[in-house]
Amino acid sequence: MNRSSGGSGGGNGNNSGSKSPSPGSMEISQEDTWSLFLPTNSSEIDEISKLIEEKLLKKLNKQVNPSKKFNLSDVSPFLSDGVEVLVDDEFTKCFTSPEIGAWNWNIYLYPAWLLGAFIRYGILFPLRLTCLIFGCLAFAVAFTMSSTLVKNEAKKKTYQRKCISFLCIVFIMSWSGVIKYHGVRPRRKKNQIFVANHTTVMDFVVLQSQFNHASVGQKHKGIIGFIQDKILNCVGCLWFDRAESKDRLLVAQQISKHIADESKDPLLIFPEGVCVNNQYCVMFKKGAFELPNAIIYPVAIKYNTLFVDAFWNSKKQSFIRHMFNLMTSWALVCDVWYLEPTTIREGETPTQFANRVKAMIARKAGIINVPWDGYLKYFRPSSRFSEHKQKIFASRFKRKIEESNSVHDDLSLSHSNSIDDISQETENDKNSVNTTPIDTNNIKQRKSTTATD
Amino acid sequence: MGVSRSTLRTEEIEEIQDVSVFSQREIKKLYKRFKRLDKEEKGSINVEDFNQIPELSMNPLLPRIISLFDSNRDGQVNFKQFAKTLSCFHPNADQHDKIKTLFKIYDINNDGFVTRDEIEKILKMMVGSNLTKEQISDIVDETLNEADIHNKGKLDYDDFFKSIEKIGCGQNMLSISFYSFDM
Repeated sequence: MNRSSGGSGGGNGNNSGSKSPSPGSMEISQEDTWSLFLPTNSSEIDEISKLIEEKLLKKLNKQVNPSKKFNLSDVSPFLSDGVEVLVDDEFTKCFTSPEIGAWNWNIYLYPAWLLGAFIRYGILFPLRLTCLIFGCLAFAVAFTMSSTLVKNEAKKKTYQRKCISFLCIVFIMSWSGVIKYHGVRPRRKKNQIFVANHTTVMDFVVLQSQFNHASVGQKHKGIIGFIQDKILNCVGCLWFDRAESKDRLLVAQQISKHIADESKDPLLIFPEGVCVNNQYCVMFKKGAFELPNAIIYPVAIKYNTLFVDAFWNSKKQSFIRHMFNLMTSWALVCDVWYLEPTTIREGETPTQFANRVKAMIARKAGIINVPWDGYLKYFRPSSRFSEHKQKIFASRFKRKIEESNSVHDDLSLSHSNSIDDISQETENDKNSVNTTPIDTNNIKQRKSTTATD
Repeated sequence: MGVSRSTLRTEEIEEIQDVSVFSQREIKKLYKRFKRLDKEEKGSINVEDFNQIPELSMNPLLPRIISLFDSNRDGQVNFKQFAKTLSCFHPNADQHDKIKTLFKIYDINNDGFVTRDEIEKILKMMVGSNLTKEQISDIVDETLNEADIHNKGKLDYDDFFKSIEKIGCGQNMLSISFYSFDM
């Protein structure tokens, strides 16, 4: 929570004071206190910065008169940008449930809908609930029996895990889950980590029913907390608190230990860290990708929204409510793809690796790949993004001042290219004519590498 | 399925139409967005909640944008204020309204004048710590001198308007697209 107060300041950016806004490592390491899954690697910053930079430069080029003085209308690109995202922004879209228009207010369809609703709520739901309750009871009995009566540790574990698989099947049955698994189900190997995109807690159940996974995740309260504590511990799950920074280091160590032990269940991680609405894929935290020797097994999960939206909007819905939605729908249809395992390439940073895996999953599941960090739901973005925008805007004045001082030092700041962009049209200076094509080339290259990843 | 909760009544839509250039369809869309931002579902947005949109909280001018919406400075933005302010950003909105909006950005204390100090504050917000105080001061002097044709040391709306016109703001200054967003 420390970070949110540090990065907030009303988000107005002019609180930066003496801090130099260079995207160097100083600032990063300062904020690294709760960073196992945090977007503080410099190349990750770049991806979001790049996005806002491109957007801003487009606006500046179009709207700002490139004369080198400050015009009163120069605030307009910032203003219109702000209003634009107020009306609609990509980040919010990642976490909103798609709205289903009312289709049933029609003399022909209404009776049909009514009948359907009656079947779903009046017949299917009680049936499913009964199944679920009996399933749970059977599970509880079997689980406690195997935990207390069986003395042999190895046998005990096998029984317990069988119970859990059974429970998962019961859960899937309770929403009439129709799950299609594609690809080769991987065999247990050393240093294996499964990573998947995250839509609902039920992702875990969907994958668990195939074979046992251990998982790493946010500690929950209430009914899920109970399940996490009492039951899932036997598959070796690791829980931590999103806001606790100390937990993270510990978890990293535990993960390393866990995956090295082949007798334990393979680890399943949802590197997005939050539930996303299954139309977008937000940033993957690099934590799982920087573990040494880890072999990443990407898993793509895509839910069909035909009958029910499987996205668990945990800010709006309780878990019970979410379960109720699932259990009163006709069916939950979903596809699961097991993708080719992959390891970090030579010269690749963990972040690039994470982005590559994310792109693989997004492409397979047909969801939109966006660079936003899901934790921005809980924490405000760092002020450096705002500072980055200021730097871009200030660059043209800087250049003017430099010119008037006739100091033609080749300062080649990282953002000298943005200056060229702004003043492109009027600039007759040979320098900028020469550098501009190179810069655009660079951008193209950067783009093409991200595209091929 | 079923009925969606708390929709706008026809009178409310008409009331908004009177103070804005939005079509009924656009108003309905905006209202959906408004409800999404209204976390506590109390009919108004806390201005602090503007920060919940990451892209918006990265905007150096956010405090000014907020005060544009929160016209009575009570920390709350109701739907009428929301729609009315956004209306100035509609492509069909009057150019005068757009320039007035721009003027409000500079007129921090809301007294009808833009002073040298206020321009300096705005410029400071936009460049952050990238320029020195003297550099900012020089730039502001130049800007003010050019716009302040009566040498009053501050700008009223007429001066401001003329200055904007002289620079020649683009046709689509402060115009954003309200059609493309689908919710």
